[in-house]
Parts: sequence; C-alpha cells; structure tokens
Amino acid sequence: MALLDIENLEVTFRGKRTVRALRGVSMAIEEGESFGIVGESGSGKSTVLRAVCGLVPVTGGTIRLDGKPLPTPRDAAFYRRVQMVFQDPYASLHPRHTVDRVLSEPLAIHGFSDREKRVERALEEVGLGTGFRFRYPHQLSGGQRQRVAIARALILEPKIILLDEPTSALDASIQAEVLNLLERLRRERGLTFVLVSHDLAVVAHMCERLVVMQHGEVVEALTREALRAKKAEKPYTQNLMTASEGFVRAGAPLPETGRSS
Amino acid sequence: MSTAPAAATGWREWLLTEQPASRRQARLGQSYRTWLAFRRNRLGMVGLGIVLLLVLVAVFADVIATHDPLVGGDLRTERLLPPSLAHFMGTDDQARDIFSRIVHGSRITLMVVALVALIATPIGVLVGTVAGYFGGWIDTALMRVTDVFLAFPKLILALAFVAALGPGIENAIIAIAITSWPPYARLARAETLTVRNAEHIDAIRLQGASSARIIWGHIVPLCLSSVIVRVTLDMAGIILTAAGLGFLGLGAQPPQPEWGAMIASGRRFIIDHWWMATMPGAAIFVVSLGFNFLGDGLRDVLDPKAHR
Amino acid sequence: MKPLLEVENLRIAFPSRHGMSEVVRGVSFTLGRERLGIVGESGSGKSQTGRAILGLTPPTGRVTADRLSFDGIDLRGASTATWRKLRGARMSMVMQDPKFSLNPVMTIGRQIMEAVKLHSDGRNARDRALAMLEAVQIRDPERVMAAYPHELSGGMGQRAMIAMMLVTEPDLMIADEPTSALDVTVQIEVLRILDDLVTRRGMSLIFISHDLRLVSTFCDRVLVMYAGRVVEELSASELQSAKHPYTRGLLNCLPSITEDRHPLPTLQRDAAWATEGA
Repeated sequence: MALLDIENLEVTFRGKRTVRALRGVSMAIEEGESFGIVGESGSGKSTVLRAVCGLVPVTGGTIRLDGKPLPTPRDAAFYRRVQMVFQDPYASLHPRHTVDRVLSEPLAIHGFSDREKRVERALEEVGLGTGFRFRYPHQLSGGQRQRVAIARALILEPKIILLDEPTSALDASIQAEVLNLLERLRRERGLTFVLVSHDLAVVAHMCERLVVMQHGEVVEALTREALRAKKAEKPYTQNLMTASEGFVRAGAPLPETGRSS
Repeated sequence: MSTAPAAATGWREWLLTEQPASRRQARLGQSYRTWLAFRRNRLGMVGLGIVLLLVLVAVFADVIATHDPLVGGDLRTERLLPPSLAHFMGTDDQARDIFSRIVHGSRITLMVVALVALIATPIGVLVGTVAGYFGGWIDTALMRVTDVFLAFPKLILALAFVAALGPGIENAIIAIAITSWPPYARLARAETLTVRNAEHIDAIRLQGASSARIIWGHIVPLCLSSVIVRVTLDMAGIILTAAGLGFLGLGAQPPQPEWGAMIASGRRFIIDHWWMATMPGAAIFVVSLGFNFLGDGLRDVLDPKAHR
Repeated sequence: MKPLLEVENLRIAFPSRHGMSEVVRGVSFTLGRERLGIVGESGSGKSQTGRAILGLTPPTGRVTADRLSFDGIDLRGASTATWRKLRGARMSMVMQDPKFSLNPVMTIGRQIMEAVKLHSDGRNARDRALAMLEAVQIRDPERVMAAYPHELSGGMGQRAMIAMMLVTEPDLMIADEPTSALDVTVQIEVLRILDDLVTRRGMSLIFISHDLRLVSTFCDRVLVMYAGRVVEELSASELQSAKHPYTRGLLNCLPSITEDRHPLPTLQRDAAWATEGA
C-alpha cells in the first residue's frame, strides 16, 4: 500500500474566471522513495503539493495517507507527518523573525519541551552554525535561507517532505550544495520526498520515479532509467527531454516543439 | 550569553555584530540599525527633537513655567500686557501669564495625543487584520462597521457626546479616538491582504498555527510600520481637532490652559493684542510640524521595502 | 578592424555601510561583430557591467574606467544628448522578465511604434512594428499589437520585447538573462529567434546569464565573472578545456539527466579568486 495515494484529484478555482488547475490527477508515492513531478508553468505541479497540504481546497478525488483519507482541515497529527519546503527563499521566511523564532515556533505550537537543544541540532544538521541562530532573513544569503527553510521543515520530524522547486531560485553552485544536503538528510532519516521541479535534470538526479504534468493532467509516468534511456512515449515528454538538452545553433537540426505560444 | 562591554565602541560592535548570540542582542541590534538609518534624516531628527521637547516641557511644566497658569495677577494693571522679559509671551485678558499657560497646556496636548493613539491604534489594527485575514462575510461586516465610523465627522460626534455626557477633555478624547481608528483599520487590512498569501504565512499555517497566532505574531508585525507612520502623521490632525473642540468650548473647560481654548478666548483681542491668540497658535503649529517631520522620517526608515 | 566596444578597467562601486564597495572590479574586454557571453552567479557583477555600457547604472553608483567607448564614442561622462542618440538606436537591451520590463499600461503596438518614432522619421511606424512582430514569429501580430503585456504569455512577451529592441536595428544588443524567466521549451524557441535575427542583421550581442552551458552554445566567446572580476575568458568551443577552477567547478556542479554523481561535486571557493587579476 502506498504511503501517499492521490486518486483523480481535482482542484478548480472559482472566481472571475473558473480555472481547472488539476483535472483528475493520480499518483502513488511509496514509503522511503523520492518521487518527482515535472512540468512547466501552468502544469499544476505545485497545486498538487498545496492540495496535499490543505492549502488549496480539493473539489474532487481523494488523497490518502497510510490508506486513510486526510481530514479537512488538516490536524496536528498531519503536520507532524508531512511538511513542505517552498520555492522562494526570500518569501518563505518571515522578514521580522529571527532564525531562532522560525525554528522554535513550530516546536512551541506542538508542545515540545527541549526546544533549545532541538533548534541547535536542527541548525547543525543543515550545515549552519549556531552563529546564525539570531540573524534575521535579510542577513542571510539565498542558500542560507533555504537551509533554514529545510531545517524548519525537519524540526517536527515528519516522514514526508514536499519540496516545491526548492533550488530554482538559487545559483548553480548553491543548488548543488542544497541538493546534496537534501539527499543526505533523506538517507539519514529515511524520509519520503515528493519533489516538484521544472528542471528535468534536477528531478532525474534526485528521484527514482517521476510523472510529467501538463495543463493540470498527468501526461506520463517514468522511471529514472527510462528517462536516461530517452524512452518516453508521449510527444510532450520527448519535447521536454530534447529542450532540456539545451540550445543548438542554426545549422544543426532544431527540435520540433509542436506548441503554439 | 554576551556580556556588556565597557567602551563605547564596544557597545556599537555588540549591537552591530553579524552573529548575535541572543534574542535580546538581535532585537536591540535591529533597533539600533533602524536608529542609525533614522538619524541620517535631518528633518526627521528635527521632528523628533520637537516631540521630545513637548514631552520634556509637559513633564517639567511646574519647573519651567514662570507664573501660575490658572490664577491671574492684578486685573487692573496686568491684563493684556505685551511680551516682555517678565512675561515671555505676554498676559491674557484675565492677567494670566500666557507662557506658563502654554507650558501647562502642553500636558493636555500630550495627553490627548497619547490617549487617542493608544485607544485608536489597537482597535484599528485588530479590526483591519481580522477583516483582511478571514475575508468573506467577516471582512464585509467589519468593513461596513468601519465605513459607519468613518462617516462620522469628528466635530459632530463630539457635539453628540457633549450633549450626552457633558463637556470635558475626557469626552473629547473619546470622541476623537472613536473617529480616528477607521483609517488604521483600512491600512491594516490592505497590508494584511498583501501579506496573506505570502509563502511564510503558508509555511506557518503548515506548522499547525492557529489563526490567532498567525494574526498576532505574523501579520500584525508587518502592518505596524505603516500604521505607526500613519498615526504619527495623524497626530497633527488630532491636535488640531482637539484645538478645534476647545475652540468651540467642547473640550477642555476654562480655566484649563488648552491651546485651542486659548485661541478662542484670544479671538476678540486679536487686532490690538495679537499675542493672546497667536502664541498658542504658534505652539500648535510647531508641534504639528514636529509630528509631521517625525512621521516622514519614520516612513523613510520603516518602509518594509527598504529593508530588502 | 576596430572593435565596436572597448572596455578597459571598468570599475563600479556603490555606497554601503562601510564606505564605497566595488561590485565590478577592473573588467576589461573588447567586442567586435560577434557574440560575447558574460557568465556569473548572483553578485558577480555581470548585470551591472551590462548596464554600465548603456549608462544605466543607478545614480548612487560610481562608474570609472580607463576606457569605455562604443564605435569610438567615449561613453564615460557622455551627455544626455549623446545617450539619447545611442540608446535604442545603436544599442539596446533585452531584460529578463517582460512582466516587469514592458510598460504595463501601454499596448505592445504603442510601445514598439514609440521606439520607431523616437529613433527614425516615424513613417510607416505601424507597418514596421507589424513586420518586426512577424519577424519574431508571432503568428497573429495584429492581436498582439493591441494587447497589453499582462495579456501575453511569458514567451510572447519576451518576443515582443525583442521586437521592440530590434525594430530600430541597433549595432549592439545586450541581453540580460533574456530567457531565465521562461519555460524550457519556450526558451529554445526564443533563443532560436534571437539567433536568427542576430545572424541575419550582423549585430553584435552581449549575452549575460548564469547558465554557462547555454551561453557556450549560443555565443562565440565567453567571459566568466566572479566577485566583480573576469576570472577566465575563452572561446565557446573550448569550454571543456577551461582552466580556471571556478569555471570547471561551475560546469561540474550541475546535475545532469545522464550522469549519476552522488553527491554532486560542489564549488570549493578559493578566496584567491576574488583578488587575482583578470
């Protein structure tokens, strides 16, 4: 039985225009695996994560954790099991709170007693020394902020971490460090990752299985091996793989993207 | 924990360190940096100076005043004397020293300003953040209530209060406070709407925080900068409104040396004995200007965008 | 042949709490009729270098150089009149996000036609604008002419921006992360269009980006910047034989679909890179 089971998930936003962000999305994430969701903007990949967290209302389908449907609104037990790392390190930390406050607040909400020790340990685990503990976010670099965000996600000791483009806003060299950190933490703690990204290389590096999404639907499901062997069935997936190889100058055969934009 | 060093440069280093070792050090360091940024604004410093002067004068009124503010001198010889060394600002029609009356009147001005700020600001921020955060019918209901209070002209409401409760400075303060909070509610609501969908709010929601904790600990601190600036800039208007009420005889009652009331009683003598109305008028002008400068200086410093 | 652009010892400093701090520290290069890529991470000074060439450094910044000339015209301390003749007409800039770099309250057509009217006699402005939109492969140029920037997708907006910047046929185009805000499939399309236009019109191009691989496939020569200095200059085809450890580090630290390296090699920053000469 899958740890996180998403079946026919539908999310529709009703407002001035009705937007069908997700139209019947299904995927099953096993315990301990690293699962990727790849797509371009508007594909709905981030919406899947937000729906799991209860940040957007679900208008159809089911999400099951350990076989049981998730309560709406989510409860404390859920937050102890599932946490999320957001994309923008400049927006995911409160500008007026110190790192210490960011890390100790979840502990306070859930009634942990040995907060000091846990905060210090969390900072060490993500490679930040205790000198960072009382800094404000504007005194940290992008990579440092993202490490704090990762520490915050881990401090409640969840089992599943949802990662919404965790390195998209970071420089390449910092991205490598953060990806290595995430891999190490996953290995040491036996975590389950659901990683969303537009970057096929990042997903191929981090995840064993992945799905490709477009316009709110799952286009194809692949394994890392199939991705490496370029064995994709659907044309959109093939386009994505070709485009990820980079630009080829005039003279060389150009990829046929088949999309009008 | 860090120990307090002895030398002055040691203090500066302690406050400006990049690695604060405690919450207190971090918070004090931030405040110090804000102060350093504020200090660069000369007009803001002038405004701060004026406001501090007001506070000092109010606190030490008994010492600074040269004469008794309430009891006049000889009604035959000391009425309506022009400014001189004996009476810095002259005397009024009751032979009272105007300078001492202005000095003591600063207490009333300060009290009005402080109480209105202390009453109106929490109400406005609470209403605004709750309305902005929850949205829906709560937002609509609270905003309509806000609109109702916004529609009341301050003076008319003060008249109503006076009719109901009798004239006096306390009722005037309540009347002003009740009509002052709606703009703060609107401001707080606008800030809340901007912040509500930020990722750090999503993040704290995902830790299981209750709405109360989110509003109090996460949203209010982000609204405070704008509200503080707005309140400071409003102070000038509040002083003028209190003066206006005093002018109409609705605020402080004679013989209290409220500046607006002083202008009212000086009105009749303005042609031949200009100092009686002009001196309190100048005092109001200077204090209002001071608050305006201070508010402008604060806005430059507290603007959240500048912190990036 | 005289180079189009000559930059020697360019230094840009901004005021900070500890006095003036230099963000570009002695950058030198020349540009002929070719494509030059400037690669660096955030804080390397690459964007500021591009802006200084167009005289767009914020007023609080201080720009000094032993030499900064475009086609023989000294750009240092150039008058407003000189800049007006150069900017838009002879050199232009494509920026990262069309959402922020296009005027949100003017239609695309009006913005392009404004560019035409400012730098030429303005005749047939509308026709020229339409022709330019077609050149960037926008299929229904009439609709886009009447549209506002927020009504267009990222890729369309960027193509409109390119059209606006090329309609005056400048000699030099500076592209500052032109495709970083776009989806990867759209990136390829936009780059293809840019490639085509630059080749056909014989323009010089400075391509500023954080993406070393992309720049090396698009440009003839690459400058690698770190902490305000140029640490390596090489021709794009020789990228694999790059010598400087920073360049090699940048190349190696990217995850790839085909390779399996766990953990990824990370950049070991050497403090010496910030101080050594270009």
